[in-house]
Amino acid sequence: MYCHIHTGGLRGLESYVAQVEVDVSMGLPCFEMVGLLASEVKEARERIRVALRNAGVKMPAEKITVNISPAGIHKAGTAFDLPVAVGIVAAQGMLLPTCFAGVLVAGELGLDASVKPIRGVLPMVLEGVRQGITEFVLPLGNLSEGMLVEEASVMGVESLEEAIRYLRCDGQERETMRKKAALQRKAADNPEEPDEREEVDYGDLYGMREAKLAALTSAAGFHNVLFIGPPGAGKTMLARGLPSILPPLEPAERREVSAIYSVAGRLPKGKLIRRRPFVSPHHTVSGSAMAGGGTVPMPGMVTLAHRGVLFLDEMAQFRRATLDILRQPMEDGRIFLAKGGGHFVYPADFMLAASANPCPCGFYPDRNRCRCTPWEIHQYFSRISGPLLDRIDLCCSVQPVSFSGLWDLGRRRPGNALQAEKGWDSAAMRERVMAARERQAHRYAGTGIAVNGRLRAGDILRYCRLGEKEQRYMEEASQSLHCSARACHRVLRVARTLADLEGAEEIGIGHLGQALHYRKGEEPYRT
Amino acid sequence: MKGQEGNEWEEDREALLETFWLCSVRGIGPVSVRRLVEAAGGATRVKDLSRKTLEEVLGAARADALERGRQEKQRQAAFARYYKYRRNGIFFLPFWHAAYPKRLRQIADFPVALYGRGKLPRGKKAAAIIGARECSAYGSWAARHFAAALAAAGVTVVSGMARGVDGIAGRAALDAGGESVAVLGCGVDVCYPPENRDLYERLIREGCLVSEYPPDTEPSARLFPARNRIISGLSDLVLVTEAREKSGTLITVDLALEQGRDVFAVPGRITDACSGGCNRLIENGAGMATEPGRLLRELGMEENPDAKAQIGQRGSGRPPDACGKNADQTQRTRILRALDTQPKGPEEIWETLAEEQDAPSPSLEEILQELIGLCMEGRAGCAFGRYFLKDAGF
Repeated sequence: MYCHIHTGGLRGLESYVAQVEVDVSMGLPCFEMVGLLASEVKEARERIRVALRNAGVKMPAEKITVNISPAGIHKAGTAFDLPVAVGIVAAQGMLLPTCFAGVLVAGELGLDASVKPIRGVLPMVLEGVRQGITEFVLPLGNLSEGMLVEEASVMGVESLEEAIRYLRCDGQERETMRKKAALQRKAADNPEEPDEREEVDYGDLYGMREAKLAALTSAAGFHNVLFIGPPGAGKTMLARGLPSILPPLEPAERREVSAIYSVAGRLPKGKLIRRRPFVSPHHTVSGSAMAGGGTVPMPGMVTLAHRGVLFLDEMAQFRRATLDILRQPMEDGRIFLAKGGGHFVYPADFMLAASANPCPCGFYPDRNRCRCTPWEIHQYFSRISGPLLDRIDLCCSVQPVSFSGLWDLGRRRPGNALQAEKGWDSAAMRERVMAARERQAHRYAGTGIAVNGRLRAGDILRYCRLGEKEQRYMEEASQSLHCSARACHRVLRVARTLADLEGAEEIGIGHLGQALHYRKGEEPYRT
Repeated sequence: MKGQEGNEWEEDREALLETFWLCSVRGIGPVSVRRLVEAAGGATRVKDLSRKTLEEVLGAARADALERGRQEKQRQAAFARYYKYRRNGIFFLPFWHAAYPKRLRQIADFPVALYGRGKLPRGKKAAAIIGARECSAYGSWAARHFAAALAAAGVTVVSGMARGVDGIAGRAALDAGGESVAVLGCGVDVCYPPENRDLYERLIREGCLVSEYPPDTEPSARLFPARNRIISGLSDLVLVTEAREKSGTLITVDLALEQGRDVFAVPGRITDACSGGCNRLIENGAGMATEPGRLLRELGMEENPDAKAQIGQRGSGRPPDACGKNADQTQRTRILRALDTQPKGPEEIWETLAEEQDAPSPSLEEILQELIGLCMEGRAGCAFGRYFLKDAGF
């Protein structure tokens, strides 16, 4: 007897709806699976055989043929276990073919017939809904993830028996079962759990106004930022604080980011991602981990940092080839991967935050401590290529706050040495970022540009207009400070954000001056 | 070396060729060359010396070496090389030549010949400006300041074209329109260190490069100390702008003292490790270089008043209001006063100004803007986002 069931497969970040076709008919007893299957899918036979027996279903002593179509797409992952097992049950006539109408089944099986969570449920459900499927039978562990899509009615099952029982019921009963499962899941999820606290609050950083201003500006305009300073100056803390001042993810962005994390198997407890991602790879990271690797590539660091921050600590320690991978995604907001499994386009619109020492020992230009030669300093920074440096709008030097400096700070504001300066904690800074973002959204409405940091050369002329005085200032500056046209564009973009932060309609000389300051920091590296 | 200047080298062509050949004979060192030329009473006669005289002057082993080198084939090869160097603009200056620097001739172990490119300085007086390779902003400022003032007054600035102070002094001297000589520790057709390529090219055009070593000699650590004796030997006075307590620069100072040259040092703060060596030199009796005028008086020269004015202005050559617009000049002056030759972060400056009672303190944003304005005027410099005073007018 023949039956077929909808299921979902993953190909890169995208999902497709597949059919599991099962035929049980006369012939030598055997269990064949076809359809361009990866080894983990072929191994499913053994899992299914044992799981069925442990669920109390007898394997028929007949020829069982399973085909997963479309047979031309290479299938990987463990989501096919449950639909195949259910298909075998149905092909023996224990389930009516009508009970699969408009239902998508996916899940991994254990030998004890339990159903285990799988990767990529969110894109799978989204794709199913797009193709008109409304009902989903998924592992209980993925239930909350599936329920993120409002249009879908999702059932979470813990075991194969539960899945069979559910499929036997009619509409009304299924509804009740779904509600029960949802309640059960909610209890396990413990909704009382508080939201994760932000790692760093800028209120905890004393002084460092120059660096905080750079962080504020980069967050407001989504500009890439580089912090340079000696070890222990607080560069890493500054970068880690960035998510705390970036505006929270918009609903559409949340789905987008959560889908990526779902495919990567990194969605925390099936909850939608609410904070901006902050990805901080170690400097030994390989090129394929950065870009995305495998025949059908897993999302790399650049994709995991989509809509968030990609933080490169000690940027000059990364391999130059790894850093140069970032150039294309930084330009396009996406990464094109040509792999054995085909061509893939993954989103990678991140904000690059990086930290670096000014020289190998870290103390230049303090010549009392640093004896690095100009050549060594040049070598140290030659790992960061010019084109990459060109894409970093803000470059800020960070100086360590000495203990006595902290002490003085306390004295000058008596009584509250430990209280942050007013207006420079994360909450207040985020408010300023949000206000600046609003101005940008208003200005760029309907143009496809989101933020100042993503303005292209042509847009800059349109949106970063200068008055006559400002234009003369900029001409003077580009001559005496040796700014190339590209460098001037960066200065203008940053100046636009500084003006937005102040609520100014026009870019003033003050904004240009500050923007020039944040460009000067990297100058020694360009010689 | 073309045109009229070429004649100077044509006059004694035969003697030059003979000395060049002698210098290139394998197994014959500089001391032997000198002895031979003196014994024969002229470079042209060395080739005709009898075996007996050779053995008397050099000993048997070296006499053999010279006999071998005297073969016509060897001599012709050496002559061909000489002409090749001349074609490439490299001159050969033996110790007996009239153009050989008098001062250098006076030191105990003067080089028997110099190879060079460019044109020999005509100035009567010369000063060496030396210092650390890894110099601070202060050290590089001092090198620039002194080199420019000395060069403008007509003093030849001698240096080693090394990284740091040497290179800065050489550039500043040429910028000021003066003369500069660089003594290399490698062949004059080799540019070392490679990052000073610009200076190397400029010195060939506008100054002079000399070396004791024949062209094509690669730089090596053992050649540099010997090079230092030529730097001080070419100079009437040695100025150290920045040196640590244990610095290679002090080797040159010792050599200079042995040669009887005056040594001056630029004083630094006691907290700056980079100035430790300089302060120690002053403690031990070196002259304190507080202004270029002192050095010039020492050399018996006058300061060039025009040049002084020029140098003083070079930093702020632009009319201030082209860079400042509505900028409040008093505010800018206050920030300028807070700056130092040691790099300072904008926040440091902000805090300094906040402590001043008499005037309202500017915001950090204003300070950033003013600092950039000062950079545009050329009065301040910037390194890694920290600012320092450039070309202070003292």
